[in-house]
Amino acid sequence: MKTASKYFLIFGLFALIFGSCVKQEFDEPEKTNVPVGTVLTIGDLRQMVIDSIQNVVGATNYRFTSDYTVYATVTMDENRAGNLYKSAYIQDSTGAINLQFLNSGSLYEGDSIRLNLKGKLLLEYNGAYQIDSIDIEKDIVKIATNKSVTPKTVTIADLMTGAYEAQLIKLEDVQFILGDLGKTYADFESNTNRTIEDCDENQVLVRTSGWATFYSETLPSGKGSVIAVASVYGSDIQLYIRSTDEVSMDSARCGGGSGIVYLNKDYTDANVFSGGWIQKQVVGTISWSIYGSTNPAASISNYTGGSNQACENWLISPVINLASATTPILSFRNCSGYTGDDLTVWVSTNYDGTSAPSSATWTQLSFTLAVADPYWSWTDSGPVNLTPYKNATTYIAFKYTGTSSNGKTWEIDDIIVQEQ
Amino acid sequence: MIKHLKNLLLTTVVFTYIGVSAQTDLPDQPKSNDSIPVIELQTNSGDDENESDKQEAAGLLKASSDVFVNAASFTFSPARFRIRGYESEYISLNVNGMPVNDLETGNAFWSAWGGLNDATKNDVVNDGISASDFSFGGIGGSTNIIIRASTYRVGSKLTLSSSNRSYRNRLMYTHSTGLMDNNWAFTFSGSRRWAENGYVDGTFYDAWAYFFSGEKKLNNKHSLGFTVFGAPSKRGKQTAGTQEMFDLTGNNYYNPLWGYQDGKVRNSAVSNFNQPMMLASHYFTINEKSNLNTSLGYSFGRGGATAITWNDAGDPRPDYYRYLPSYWSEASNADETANYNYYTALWTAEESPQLNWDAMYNANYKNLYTVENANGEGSDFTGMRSIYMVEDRRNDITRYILSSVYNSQLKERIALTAGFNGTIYKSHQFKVVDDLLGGDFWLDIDKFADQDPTQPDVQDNDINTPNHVVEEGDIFGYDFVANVNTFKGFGQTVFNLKKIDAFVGVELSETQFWYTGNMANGKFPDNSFGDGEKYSFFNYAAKGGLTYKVTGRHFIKGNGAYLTRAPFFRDVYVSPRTRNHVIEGITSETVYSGDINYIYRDPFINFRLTYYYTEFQNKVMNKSFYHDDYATFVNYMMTDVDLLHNGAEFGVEAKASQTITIIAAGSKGDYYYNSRPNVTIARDNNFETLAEDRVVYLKGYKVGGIPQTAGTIGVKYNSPKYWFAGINVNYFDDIYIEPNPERRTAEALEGIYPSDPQWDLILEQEKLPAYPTLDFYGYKSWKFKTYYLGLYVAVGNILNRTDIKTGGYEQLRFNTGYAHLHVDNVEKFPSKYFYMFGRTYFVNLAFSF
Repeated sequence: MKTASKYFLIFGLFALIFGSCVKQEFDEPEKTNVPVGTVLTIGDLRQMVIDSIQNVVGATNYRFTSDYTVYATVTMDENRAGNLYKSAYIQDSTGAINLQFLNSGSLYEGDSIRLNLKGKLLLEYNGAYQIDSIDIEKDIVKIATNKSVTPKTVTIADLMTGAYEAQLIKLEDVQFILGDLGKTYADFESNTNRTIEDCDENQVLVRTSGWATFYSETLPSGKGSVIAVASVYGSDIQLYIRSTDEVSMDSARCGGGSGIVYLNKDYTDANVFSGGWIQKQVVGTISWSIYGSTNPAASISNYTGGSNQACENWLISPVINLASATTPILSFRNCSGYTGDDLTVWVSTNYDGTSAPSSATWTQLSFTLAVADPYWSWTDSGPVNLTPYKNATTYIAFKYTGTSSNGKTWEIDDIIVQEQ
Repeated sequence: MIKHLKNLLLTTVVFTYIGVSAQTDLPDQPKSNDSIPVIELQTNSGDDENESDKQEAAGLLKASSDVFVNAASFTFSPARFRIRGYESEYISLNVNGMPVNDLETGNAFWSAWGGLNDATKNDVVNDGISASDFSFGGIGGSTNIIIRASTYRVGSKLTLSSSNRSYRNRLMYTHSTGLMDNNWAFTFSGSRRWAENGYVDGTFYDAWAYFFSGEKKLNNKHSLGFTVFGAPSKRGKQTAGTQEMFDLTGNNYYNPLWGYQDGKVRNSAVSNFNQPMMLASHYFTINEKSNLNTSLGYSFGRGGATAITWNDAGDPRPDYYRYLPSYWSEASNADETANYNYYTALWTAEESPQLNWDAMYNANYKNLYTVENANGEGSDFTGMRSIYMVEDRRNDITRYILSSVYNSQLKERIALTAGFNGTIYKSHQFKVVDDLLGGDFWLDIDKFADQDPTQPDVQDNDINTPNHVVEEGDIFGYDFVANVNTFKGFGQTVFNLKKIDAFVGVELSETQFWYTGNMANGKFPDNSFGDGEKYSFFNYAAKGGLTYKVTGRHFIKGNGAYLTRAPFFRDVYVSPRTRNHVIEGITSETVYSGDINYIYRDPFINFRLTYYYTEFQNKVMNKSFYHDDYATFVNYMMTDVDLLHNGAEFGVEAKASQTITIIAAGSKGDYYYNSRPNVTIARDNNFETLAEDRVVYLKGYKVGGIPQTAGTIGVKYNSPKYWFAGINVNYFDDIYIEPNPERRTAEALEGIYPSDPQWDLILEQEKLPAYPTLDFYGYKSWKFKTYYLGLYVAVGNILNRTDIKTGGYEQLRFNTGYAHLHVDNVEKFPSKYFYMFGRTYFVNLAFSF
């Protein structure tokens, strides 16, 4: 090949190779600044809810159409313990408010932020003031981290005025009500309310998400303090706990009582047998079921298919460990209807938990029966002393009998075994 | 005269499909296609981009002399055809007699040879169960690429190519000295393939390749060779999509993996491969009847691909199922209807929805965050924490191979082959921060790890570095090594008698693999760091074949093979990213296969008719996918999987006249699952298995993703004026969608009665419509003095049909039970499909001198 054409060819090849760049380097895009505009305080925003929504007929929200900014600190986020979802609370010196996000995001308790309100909605949701439709990535700029807000110490009566809506507060000398002892903060994947009270029997709700990391922890049984964000839902005050580290209830309860609960069955989960309860159908096939939806209770009746069935049914508790108890007391509520045998209550310390009742020794216990007339008169059983039956493996049982000619319907609820 | 004519015709027939070789005299060239370029397979990265990088090699790339195999390798490859439905793990790929299948998955990876067409064109291809002079082979055949410097055609060759498929341009240069007077031979080859944008939007191609081989002939008996080659490549990937996405965008090649950054196209899934290989070989010609070739190979390098990841942020992917109108179609309130309208407008807009890189940068710029007790060192770290990030999921390998093969013509009609090979293989798998997208750091914690008060460091992927703050280049997330060692010995005897040709071979092998963890994971602190238990398998295989030469024209051939194979590392470890745990009951797989063939040859026509039958038993299969709700990979491991592949093949080549040849080839197969496997389902970030020992009612379901029926009829015109052209009409049918095992369990059907339309929707297996395609190819060559120029043009899918679905798979994500309904719960995660490219071209200009 001629030299000239050879060099031409080589030059052409090199040109081709250098021109074959496949550029895969990318410049970082410019930062888009979040504008500030007019600065408002949270107090201003809360007043706007009153002025522009509550006092305006037919208004359900207020939309910001130009740049407004609020500076505040995040008092509660959804990331620390998962007790909120697509939501957070912010507070400044003039008040607090709830934020609702389009998506979960990277906002943390202690973040000092500025939030641009343009395009966002101000609204009221059953008494709770909210800023809605926030995009954390576009609307919020973080100025600093780890800025803590001191919770205000208040009383339940203070909360009931609604003046602390969305704020971080602390209650002292409060306890969970007796009926909640032994339960967990929330049921699995279900937002749950529990109730705390002060020594004057003022009550306020504690609401916990079924997805919170601490949902399965047992409620503390003593009296003490709790830090939470106070929210409002209709006529109820609802407290949201940020972390169980901020719940410190281990002093003696109001009105005495240790608050130690060994067994607690209130049927709010609409399941007769959850928690390990079993039934033994010694005679017949009659079975316990749930009655009621607002306040479910366990119910049994031998009237089926148009007639009464002779039956004997034992509803047996899970094993109750009373080995270290001092004075364990059983109490429950009961009511009945129609004519037939009375419900009886029994205790055993040598039952094995699975076999027929006849395999163990049962002692009958006396309690206050519901009156036969009028029907459905809910009656407290009164304290039933289990002290003589303190044992690591104590069982209680509710025995129901009916004949082929008659039988009562019995209902029971709120079964508690606790330290006196 | 007649004899001369006969010879001429015979020569033309034999070389017809391969193409006319150079006009120079090369009678003893191995059957290679000097002038017809080996068309590169679309090594489709079309798997779900979140599946572990499973590169398929559909069939053999190399030209075989068999009409059907040739059609299957070239004509059928755009349709994802696999010969007899076999996965590439059943094909034995070798270099200089050294086995190079990947040990972790068994696959024959062709990406290591990308752009090295000239360097790899000396090869020996054995189809199916056959005799081989370099390895025991698999039921799918064996290929040996000979890279001995002295075997290359002397001279230089420059190739320029243009295409519109995965790459747009290619430049190749090869030079070989042949064995020179000083007893040295050198061959060099280099290539460059590139495309700013391939056929599919967002897919760029950036590849180089180099090859250098030297050989020194010491004396008449001994030669030493040294070879080094590599094929580094970076490619932007594509992925399958749901029909809804294709319908709304009006684009069957919609690719959700890319987006605009500052106006430029940027793909989030970039595969970056660079695994060079070096060989030292010794060629020993013992005498004129025997030789012994030994090679020592070393391969190392990186593999893997990037992916976008996020934490504390909404899913940035445009094809996330909640960003599609179908998720909102059963709107029951004003908010949902607004969303439905919003997403419908988004997807039907002029510009289809893609990744929004600019928004991700801006989110990262502003995300001030303080890490307490950063890296467990006690102090806090404050900076901009990236909530979006590009991670690089790496798979780096180190491999040593030693192999030695002995061939001897024992007697005039008996040949013996024997050999052994051993491989030490390590695959280091880990994640690296690739691009923080404007942020200062990424916090490596697993936020979705189940919280457990007794395990406070459960969120740490590396408990030795809690609250791990990582920056670009840091390893995070997971870090482990898959170790696999094998040792095999084989022997084979071939008999060439007057009436009968026969061969018989055996192979024994020992395989050992184990896990080594480099990171103690907080979720499995006792079960993730250090060496795990070693698992060993002893396997054996036997093959045999007999050809009965009825006459010089009629042949009857039967082959059979029985083999056991050790399971692969990737299939048996439940979740190596977090723990060292193997599923229960792993055993070797058993394969038995046979085929019977009738072959006819005469100067005008030759054809083969075959029936084959193969059973695979006790296979282990592992499918992995990323589950958005759990924010982790979920692994489906099935044991006791049996498959049955059987069918018929035929290939005909007929000379209609001196210049016209007619080719027809086809296959009708039936490949299906032949057992009810057991499945174990496990999450990466949770110790509890989601399901164990669940029965999958998979028996009878067809193997999906490939056409089980394929055929072609072609006419080729061979002009004596040094050009030829041909046209093929092809047909593909029986393409099924690969089934999701979870949908065929009793649990999936709980609460649904057979009369419910949901029952059928959940159970039935979709079959894609059959389709034809039309291809054209042509070649012309010029020769002046000692220079030779060849121009090759091929056009595929001439009719430009862009509506052909070539394959797909059911999503592994599946909603069971009515509780999650928007009425059609099966439709919530519909199947994903791949579409065949429209009209594609390939133009190749080769200049040899």
